[in-house]
Amino acid sequence: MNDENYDLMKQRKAIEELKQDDYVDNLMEKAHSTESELWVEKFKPRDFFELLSDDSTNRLILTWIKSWDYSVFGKELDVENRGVMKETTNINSKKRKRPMNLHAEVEEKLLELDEMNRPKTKVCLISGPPGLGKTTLANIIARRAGYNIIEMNASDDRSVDMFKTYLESVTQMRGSVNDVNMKPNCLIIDEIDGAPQNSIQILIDHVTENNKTKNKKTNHCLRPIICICNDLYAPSLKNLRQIAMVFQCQGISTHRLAERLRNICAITNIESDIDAMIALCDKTNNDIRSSVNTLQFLSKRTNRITSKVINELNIGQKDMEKGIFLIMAEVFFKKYEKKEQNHKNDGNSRFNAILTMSQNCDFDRLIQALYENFLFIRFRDSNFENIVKANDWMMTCDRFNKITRDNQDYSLFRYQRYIPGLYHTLFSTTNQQIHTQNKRFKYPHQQYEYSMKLNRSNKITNTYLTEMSPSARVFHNSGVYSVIDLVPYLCQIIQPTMRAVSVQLLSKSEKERFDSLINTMLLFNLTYRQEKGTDGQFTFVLEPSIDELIKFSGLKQHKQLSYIVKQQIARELLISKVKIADKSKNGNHSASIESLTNKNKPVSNFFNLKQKEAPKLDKPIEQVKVVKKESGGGLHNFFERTSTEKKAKTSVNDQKEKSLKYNEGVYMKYKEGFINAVRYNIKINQLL
Amino acid sequence: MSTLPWIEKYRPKTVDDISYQDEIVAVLKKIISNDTGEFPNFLFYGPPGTGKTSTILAAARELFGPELMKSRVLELNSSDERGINVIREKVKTFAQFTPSGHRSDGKSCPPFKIVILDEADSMTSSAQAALRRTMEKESKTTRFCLICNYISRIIEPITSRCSKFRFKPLSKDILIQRLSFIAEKENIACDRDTLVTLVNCSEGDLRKAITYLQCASRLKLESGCIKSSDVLEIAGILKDDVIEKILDTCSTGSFEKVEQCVQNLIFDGFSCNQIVTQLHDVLIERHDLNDAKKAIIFEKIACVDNDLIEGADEYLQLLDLLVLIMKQMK
Amino acid sequence: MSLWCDKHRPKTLNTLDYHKEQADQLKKLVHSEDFPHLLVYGPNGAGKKTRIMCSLKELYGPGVEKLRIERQQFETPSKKTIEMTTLASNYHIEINASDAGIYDRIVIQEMIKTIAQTNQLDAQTQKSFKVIVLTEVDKLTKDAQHALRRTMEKYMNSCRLILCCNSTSRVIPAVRSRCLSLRVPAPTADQIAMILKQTCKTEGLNLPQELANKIALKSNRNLRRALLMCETAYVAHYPFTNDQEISEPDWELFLRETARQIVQQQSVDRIVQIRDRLYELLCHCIPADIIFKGLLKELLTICDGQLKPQIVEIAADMEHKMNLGDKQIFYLEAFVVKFMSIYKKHLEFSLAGCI
Repeated sequence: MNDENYDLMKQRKAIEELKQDDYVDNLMEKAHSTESELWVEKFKPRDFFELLSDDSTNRLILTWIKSWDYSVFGKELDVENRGVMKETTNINSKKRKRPMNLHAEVEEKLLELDEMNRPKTKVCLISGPPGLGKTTLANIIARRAGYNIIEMNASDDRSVDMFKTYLESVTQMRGSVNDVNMKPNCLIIDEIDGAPQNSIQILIDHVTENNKTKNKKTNHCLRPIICICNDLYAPSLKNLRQIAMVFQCQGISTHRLAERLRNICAITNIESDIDAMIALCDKTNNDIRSSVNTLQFLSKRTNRITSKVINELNIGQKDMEKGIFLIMAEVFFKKYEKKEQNHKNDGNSRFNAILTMSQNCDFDRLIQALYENFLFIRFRDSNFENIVKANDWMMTCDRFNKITRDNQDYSLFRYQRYIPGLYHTLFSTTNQQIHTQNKRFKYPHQQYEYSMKLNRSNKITNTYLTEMSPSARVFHNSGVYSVIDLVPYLCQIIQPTMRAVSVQLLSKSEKERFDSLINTMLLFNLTYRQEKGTDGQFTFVLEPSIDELIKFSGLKQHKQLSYIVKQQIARELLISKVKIADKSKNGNHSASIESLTNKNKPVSNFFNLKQKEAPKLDKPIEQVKVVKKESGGGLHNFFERTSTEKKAKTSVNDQKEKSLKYNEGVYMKYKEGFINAVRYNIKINQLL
Repeated sequence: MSTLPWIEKYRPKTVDDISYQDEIVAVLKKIISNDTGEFPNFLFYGPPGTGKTSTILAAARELFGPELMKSRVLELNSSDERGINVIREKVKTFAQFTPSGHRSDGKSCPPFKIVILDEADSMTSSAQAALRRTMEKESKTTRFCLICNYISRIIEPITSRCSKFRFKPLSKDILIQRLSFIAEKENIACDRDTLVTLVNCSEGDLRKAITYLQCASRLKLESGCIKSSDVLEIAGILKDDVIEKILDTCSTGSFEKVEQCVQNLIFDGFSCNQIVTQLHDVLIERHDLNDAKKAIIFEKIACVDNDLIEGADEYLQLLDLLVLIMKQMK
Repeated sequence: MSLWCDKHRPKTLNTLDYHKEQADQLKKLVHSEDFPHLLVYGPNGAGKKTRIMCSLKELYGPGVEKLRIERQQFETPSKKTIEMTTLASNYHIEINASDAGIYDRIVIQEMIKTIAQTNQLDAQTQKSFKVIVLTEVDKLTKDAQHALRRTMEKYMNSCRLILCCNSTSRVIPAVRSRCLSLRVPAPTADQIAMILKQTCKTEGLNLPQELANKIALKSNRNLRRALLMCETAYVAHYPFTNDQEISEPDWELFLRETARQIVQQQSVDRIVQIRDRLYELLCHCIPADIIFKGLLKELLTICDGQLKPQIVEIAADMEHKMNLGDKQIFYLEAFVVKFMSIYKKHLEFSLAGCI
């Protein structure tokens, strides 16, 4: 017998053993097809039963798709099948606390229909680690349920416009005219955790029918949408998670995968045994794609694959993503060393182990987590020498990082990977207590919170600077020195001790003070805005809220003005602004103040103007001669450059001017305590 | 009619006028008189204010005559965009026009154009790399002249394509000579002392000296004579007695006094670099410190100088330095 | 009409209260034929801006006081548009150089060139040049400063620059040599007290001398702050009393408390608390170098004389490193921890010595 015959015989024998597997049947023909095809493609499952992923999850997804049958195909729901599916509760599907993934409840939810007989959750989200077979799963299920599959993945343009067009064309119309089968479409959005947030928002709006177009008819989502992602907890998916039916695919069982791999080996004429395949599965962490690829690679090298070969492999090793918390536990806690020298537990090997571990996770996050948590461990350190050393390293690596970023030169990048190891040598202890509030490691939020707060403070400072009137801005143009010098005192100056009475009842000196206060606030464009607090009470809040810039914890608060006084001030400010706008309209002093902020209040309220002229306002305003950009007629503009102007400003002014229709000579008197009642004189007799 | 700054007004117009740089003047004169156009690519380097830009401008003027200067000379300095794009577009287009060999007044002139790249050390290395090929390809019609302060900032391939000329810092006599010439022309009274102070303040930089002279004269219009103290104030240099006072405070050994002294210096607005430089000059001469102590102090001065350049806070650095001096003086 | 520090600000060179010889010189300069580029430098609150506005008024008359805010847009080579806010009158324009962030070179090149290249329409009645005031010049990057220097030379005819900064060490020598430097030192405590008294007199209030001295001392030779303190005191309680409380900015109080906490206890728990406090200071927009200086000042008053040189050295070192790095909290906390370490050792040492 020559070699060829021998091989053929062996092959046949192997195949006979495995004939039970349908999969093998289907692929017999393909075994001898072109050499250059990737095995991942070649040996892809074509039908539902060839899938390697968890059975129950598969059935759940199928149920979900089938629940669309009524609205898409007009088929009646299969009542019997529902019962069948209820029995197939599988222990495998032990999910976490989320009730949506428990079977009974899921079944119920799945089969809930809304008023148009579509399932309540119109989108399903399949998530799981890579190489699991999610895309294949989605494709097969959709095809089985009778749909035409339209796939959109990360290689496509997923900008907002493209996404919208795609979405509408797929889910709102029947299959295209060219499509011979006239199957309805099913949209599969792959790798959705990489899509821009705006696009995902469009999807959500579409699905929840939250769009504001008038034509309701054309906006319904008539087709199922399947989304696939790797990282379920990506921030962009937060909203999607809440409205979608989430299916979390767990890993594949090693045994099943090993079996499948062995089948493939048999078909492609490679000698192997189940142990080797199990080793391969372990190495690739049960990733189908990776293991099949490795197998293909190996097949080029040798015809015999044994466990030894697998173990010596350098490729096919995936990033072992261990969670940050696990690594922190390794770094900070020393396991109690037994007397028998366990080689794996001495200082060097621990150090190296930690270094390798920390390579494969989110490194920046890890460093931050270490920095934020190390103070909660009770390590031995007299006089803080260890902390000083650790800090030295952190500072040095921070500088290295900056240099790397600025110069795009990565040669200094390698040093920061020693930080976890360093933390281990300095801070590890056998005392496994963590002194945080909930006795567990904290997720590194502090940096993020800090940058959020800083953003807010910067925004407040910028608003404050940009809205200042020019004559004040000339001398207070620096953001930094404003915060340090000016703002603390300004906040106190605009809160003088004032009696909580109405403006007319103030004495002359008090009135002067009040006016100068109003002037100052006008100059810096500060005002009080009414806001509803969390307890339902109304309060007046300074706008822009520079008082937040001086609020520190632990310091005693400055006394605040009372509600009534703030209200008075706010009203006076508005009146003054209106007066100034009016003056500019009449061209008296060609004066106007920049941004007459007139937020949401309707203008008609302001007709309750006071009678008095407020002459004290005239004088100061003369000096604040600010020229509106449009009235540039009388003045030369030597600079002759184009400048973009805020159109909003002028429109507000226009609006104001239209509504300020009153002519001089007509006064309206505001009567305090005015009520919409007509007074009669009544005698008691009439009542009895 | 606004007045020109004196540095422009008294800029040498011919190569002969350029003082003190004998070698380069000789080379240029040879090139100008010899018409066959052996004009290499030049690289002028040296401390500021020694006449580099003036030299090349004067040479170009003599070669081409004032009419052709505009079309034959392209000047790019650091206030213009000099990124890679500009090098590729602008310089290439400029270099591609073939110049003629004759001037309008009949004299012959070399058939090439000049590109002057002033302040070349602020060009990025990628822009410089883009330049070198252009230099080679267009060498038939275009010659380059690079001007910089530190030759180490120009990449190797460019320096190998150029003839390098080092401009020496000007000697005190030459400076005094030039300054008195200008002072005479502008009718300013100033005595020899003032001129010497001027020269000392400017550290061999003629441009600085002339600017100081002009500023001083502006400040003192009617009152006539310019005094040394005016020059010192303009240059931002502290008076000697201030420095002495600082060192006296350090020798008292009281930390509070030193702190107060630093605070006052910051409030007076003096530049910290200036204080450190002057301290250094004075400390070298002092006899009450032995060499070992001086060595420690100067090492610290070097560190402080470096830190200041990298952007550290002046108060902290100055306090640190003075505290160290105080310790050494004990 | 506004805060005292703005209301009673001198508007002309004649009415300046201190550094009068410099005011005279400025006056002469303005009336001379050629007005040079100016570089005005000095500590915060010394009166640089005031003097600049006075000089402008002297140059152009009261028209400079009619100000308006304009916004202009620029496009960077990377196709990003930045918007700059400028303050302008008919004769001058003021730009805050640090507003542009990393694009300051573009702003300088485009904006100033555009302004400088347009000539005055009406040459007889006005001065032949415009003025561009650049504030916070020491925050400009080196590239922008190089771009500036050439522009200054070329466009001398049509515009003059007045640069304003805190210290000249961050201004490159090339720019410095093209300007006339004007040093504005901070006023002394006596001068401040005198100005406070005058201001109160103009307002019709009576300020006792002792209180004036107290405020002048507390203001740290910063005139703006002194006037604000005085006005706050007036708003809080008038008539003035000698022992009236003068308020300090909240962040200073917070910083002082932080320093006290550092010295009070040195433990890991305390470090956690201090870290939170430092974060809080940072996110209230207090710049980190000011935090450093403030902390150092407070710690030096509390700790022992022997330790002071060492602590100063550490502070200078850390602050310098912080400028080269990104995350400021690392450096601040490292300084605190190092201090605690030294202090603790010293305490134990002295205690051991006592026993």
